[in-house]
Amino acid sequence: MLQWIRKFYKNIFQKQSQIEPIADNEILARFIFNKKQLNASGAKAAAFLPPSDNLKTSVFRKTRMTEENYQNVKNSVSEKRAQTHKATALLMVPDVLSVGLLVEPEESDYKWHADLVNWPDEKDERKSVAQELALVSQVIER
Amino acid sequence: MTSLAVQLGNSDGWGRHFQPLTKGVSEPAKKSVEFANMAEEHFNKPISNASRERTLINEIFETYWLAQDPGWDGYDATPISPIAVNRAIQFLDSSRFDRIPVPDVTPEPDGELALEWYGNAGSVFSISFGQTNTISYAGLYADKSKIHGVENIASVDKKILQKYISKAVSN
Repeated sequence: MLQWIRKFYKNIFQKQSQIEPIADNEILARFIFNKKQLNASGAKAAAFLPPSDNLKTSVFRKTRMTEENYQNVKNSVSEKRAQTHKATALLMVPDVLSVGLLVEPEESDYKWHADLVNWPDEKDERKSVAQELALVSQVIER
Repeated sequence: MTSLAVQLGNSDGWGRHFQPLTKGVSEPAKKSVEFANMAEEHFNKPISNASRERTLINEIFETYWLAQDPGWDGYDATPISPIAVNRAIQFLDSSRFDRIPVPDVTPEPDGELALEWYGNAGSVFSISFGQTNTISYAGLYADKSKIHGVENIASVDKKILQKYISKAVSN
């Protein structure tokens, strides 16, 4: 029993230690599934806003992924959520950090998944941060 | 064969007197005159605020329906609240927004509905409506200036909001 517990925690520690830290030159991908979060110029701020219950914005570490892996993940997320992918918004890690957010790897469901965290508590401040992200983002795959 | 002739008057040299004529006696001939008159009436009608308002209301409801299911954004979004829709419409009704461009309507993942104005140079001003009496707003302008805040719907100074909107659409 003790051996099993030791093995269990060893596996967890190994998994956590296998998560690559976020590098400054990484490009992050935010999948967009609702056309109302896009306009002619690109992604609207709302595409980056977190839900109010956990204040985390889901992204993928595109630079770390092969093209095949990226497409598979995109299709898997679309299928899992029963939503049609409309576009992808790309962000550079330094741009995310410059608006006060942090990038936190979170790989419980998908490898190379991360969350944008450290959003302000107040909605108007979150809107302001999201507007800055929208301004610097690049939309692809429309 | 039905033929339709148009007699152009010479009241101002531009043929503003539009008078469709036909010698046909058949039903299609009479219909063509009727449709020509309807077309003239339509194109001569001034662009009314009523149709502008109708366009906006339609877009608000379209946005509402597109964000009705939990997870409508493919993540953990809350469905847009009917109260938020109502508050947005009431706000527009109570303001002299017939003087500014029709806003974009955007659903937000927390269930709020945003009215947004964009400028050609990248400026944006956005107001969010939710289930309470407060609105949250934020603006980012081409000159890199920013504004954001929270106000009570009933007491907000609409002239100041109009100023923020005007700054966005003109930059």
